[in-house]
Amino acid sequence: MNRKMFMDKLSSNLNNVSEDDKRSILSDFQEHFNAGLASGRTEEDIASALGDPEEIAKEFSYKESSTSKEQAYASFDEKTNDSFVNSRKLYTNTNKNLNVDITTIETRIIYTDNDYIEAKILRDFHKINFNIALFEDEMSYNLIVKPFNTFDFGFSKIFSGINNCPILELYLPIKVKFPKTTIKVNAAKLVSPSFEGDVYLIANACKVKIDHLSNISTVKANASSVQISGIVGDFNGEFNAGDADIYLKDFRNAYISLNAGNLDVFIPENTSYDLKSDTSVGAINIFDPNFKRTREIDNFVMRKIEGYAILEGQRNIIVKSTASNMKLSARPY
Amino acid sequence: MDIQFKKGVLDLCVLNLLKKSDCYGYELVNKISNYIIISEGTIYPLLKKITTDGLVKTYLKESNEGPPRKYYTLTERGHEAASKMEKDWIDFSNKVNDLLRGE
Repeated sequence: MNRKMFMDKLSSNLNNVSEDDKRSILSDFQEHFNAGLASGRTEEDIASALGDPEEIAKEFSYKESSTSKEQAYASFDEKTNDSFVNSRKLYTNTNKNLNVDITTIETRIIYTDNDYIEAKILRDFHKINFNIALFEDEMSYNLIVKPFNTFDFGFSKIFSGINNCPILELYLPIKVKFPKTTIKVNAAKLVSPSFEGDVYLIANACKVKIDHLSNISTVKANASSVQISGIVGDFNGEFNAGDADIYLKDFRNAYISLNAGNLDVFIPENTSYDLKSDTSVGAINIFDPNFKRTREIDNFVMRKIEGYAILEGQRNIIVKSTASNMKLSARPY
Repeated sequence: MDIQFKKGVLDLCVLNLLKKSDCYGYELVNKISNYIIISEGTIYPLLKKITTDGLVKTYLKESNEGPPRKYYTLTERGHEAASKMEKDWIDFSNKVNDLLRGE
């Protein structure tokens, strides 16, 4: 087998790895061939000593799929013997505070006393998967995540696009069920599947994505994009953001204010609600299937609406737009 | 020699070679092949794994022949892991030797 045959076979068998990893793996083997040739060996000799490319590819794939969860801990746990798994033992069934201060990739977890855990990451980082899946329902906590240099991760880069930001992915638990949660986060990316209870969230992030919010929620975000879905209960959102997509699920009152970009609000069927929306730039699109009951909304073009659509029941909508176009759409989403 | 048996000690060999000096992939393969017969390709999945686990880091360095090479260097955690594995190995192999000698 020559070099090309080996590389082709390796490449076609690397199925379960990311494109980035694949590129890096293939380049490692190209380097291996180059080094071997430079030392006077033949392509065939090098290929046969490497072994079966199909088997080698399998080993990459296997490791890729089996260690993803450990990776999350490992990257957080660098340079420390205090693993996050230990902190689970310490904090289960307790009523403590958690402060996480992420400034770089190397982490230290400092136990200042039994009421308090602090994690610091001390160097620049490209990507951290920070996975908190350790806490019991009853616990209340403060999670404060600070990048090492707020300026770099904060406003200056927010609008330059996600690709320019080092990625801090903050993954919060599948379900956070605390009576009261306050979260402040400066991160390139905040991803959280779910919050239960009253939530007050302030985020400076390139991207904010939250899958579920319940009870009374306030979210303030400076972000290039915001996507919040599954909102139950009262919702108050204030965004300086490129675009915001808000999926309301079972809500009573919502106030949404956006300083930039487009605001898309999706409303479920058969909902009684009060909604106030505000944007100074961009468009507001409200997707409300309830509007299909009235035809008046067709061909409606206006720069500014206030208290226009009061339909049957308790529906009450106030929409303000001072720039660009605005659409109220009746089509289901 | 049994393949699984070799794989088990390959981590130990790679980490302890890196403890002596930073190496690029081909160099590591060569150093190991001098002592043990292996399918040389299996070193690379192993290097990827210990990189992901934070035991080693990589950097690029110019070479005299062609494009820059990817060098592997131990992290602090890698140093600790290398020492621990070496110690475990020595303890273990001593005991196995004792057993074989019937002491």
